[in-house]
Amino acid sequence: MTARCALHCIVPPGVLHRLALSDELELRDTALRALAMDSRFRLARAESAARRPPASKPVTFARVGGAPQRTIYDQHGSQSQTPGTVLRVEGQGACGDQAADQAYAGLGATYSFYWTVFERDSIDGAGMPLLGLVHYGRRYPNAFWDNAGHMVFGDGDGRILTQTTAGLDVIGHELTHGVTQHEANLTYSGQSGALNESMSDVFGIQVKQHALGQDVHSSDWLIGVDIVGPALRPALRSMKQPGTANPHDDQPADMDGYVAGGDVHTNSGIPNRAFYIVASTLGGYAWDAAGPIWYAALGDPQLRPNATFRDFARLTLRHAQQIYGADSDQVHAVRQGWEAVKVPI
Amino acid sequence: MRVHVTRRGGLAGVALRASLDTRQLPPPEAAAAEAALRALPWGRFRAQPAGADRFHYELVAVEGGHERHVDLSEHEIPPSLRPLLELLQEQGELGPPSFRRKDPS
Repeated sequence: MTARCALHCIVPPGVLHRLALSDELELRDTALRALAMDSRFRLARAESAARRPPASKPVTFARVGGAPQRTIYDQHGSQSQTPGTVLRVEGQGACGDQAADQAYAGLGATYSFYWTVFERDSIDGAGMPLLGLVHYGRRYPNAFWDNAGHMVFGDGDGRILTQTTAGLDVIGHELTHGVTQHEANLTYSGQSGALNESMSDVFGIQVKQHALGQDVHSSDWLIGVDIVGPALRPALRSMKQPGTANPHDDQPADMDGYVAGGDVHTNSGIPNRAFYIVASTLGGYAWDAAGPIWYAALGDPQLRPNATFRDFARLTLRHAQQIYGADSDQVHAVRQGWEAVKVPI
Repeated sequence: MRVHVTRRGGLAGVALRASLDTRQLPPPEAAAAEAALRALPWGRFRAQPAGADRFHYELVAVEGGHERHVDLSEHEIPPSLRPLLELLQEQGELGPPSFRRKDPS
């Protein structure tokens, strides 16, 4: 019995094949039984792997990271989230479909930001493929993350939004929703929902700044300038001056204006501005210190799905202290940022 | 059948609202939209969001002096209701993300 078990578990198939050719009857039978069992296990593993969606596929140990795995699909105007026909896969040149080529480039820039700055290998930190679905819906004025591994982009209605793939900050925003889902998984309502939205703006604007080489003073800190239609010009949101981005912008700039029961895109203005103040106080590039502090807080296991602004603020302070020292400029800037938006730490 | 519809959420966050009547649609589409409206889970609030930056809809129907409400995520919208929501996209009035409708009449 023990010998047979050892054959099942340890002996590689090549050796079993040689044993199966043995003249010794018992050894040959054992080896044949083991081979049959081995192939059933392999088949079962292959079947089970095939049933899993690509998003949850285990990462192979050979992967070292540093290169995205992008696929862009054409939804042909349908509102199905099942990926449509393939327009472009990793390594292929431009396909000529503007939305697809913009999505491909934007996902690449976002991957590159997360990898270069944080050594994060994709959305899940483990090389997850980046799947972009373009031409979703008819004149669909939106882009979203579907919590199932897809970044979905509409062509815009020409009134509130135009082609949504045109904004690097927007693509960074959507991919960051995936990062947040894999980290704190902040619940999408109330303060945790506004934090979830803010994370996407905070890292989305850094993706754009990183790709364009903008420091904290040359950035406009506006979200969505490249995709707004005439009704929402000049931008969707201003991280520097929340509430001033367009005629319908109702974002408060501090806790005095917090809207109880408000939309997650309304109250996100408060943590957005805190980040802007920390980054601009410190100068240089946003990802020199402010970005890493925010990233460390987002990935802290103590950040619960129902976190408040204050919970998050305290974690940014703790990480600033740990990384840069208790009396560092970074710690003072973090205190200053949250104080300005009236979130007590 | 008359309904007040508010679309919220989306990447832009901005609210879009309109008062719509199924009679604005061609007869076959109107009948299908009415049937879809009647089958909605009226009285249910706080639609479960399926993902981030998705649209969600608040519907208020006024019939015989009675008001009924329902909140729907966009993935819950029955296909036969889409023509009515396309009217919202064409005719709707924009408002700030946290806009609240005060008087549904």
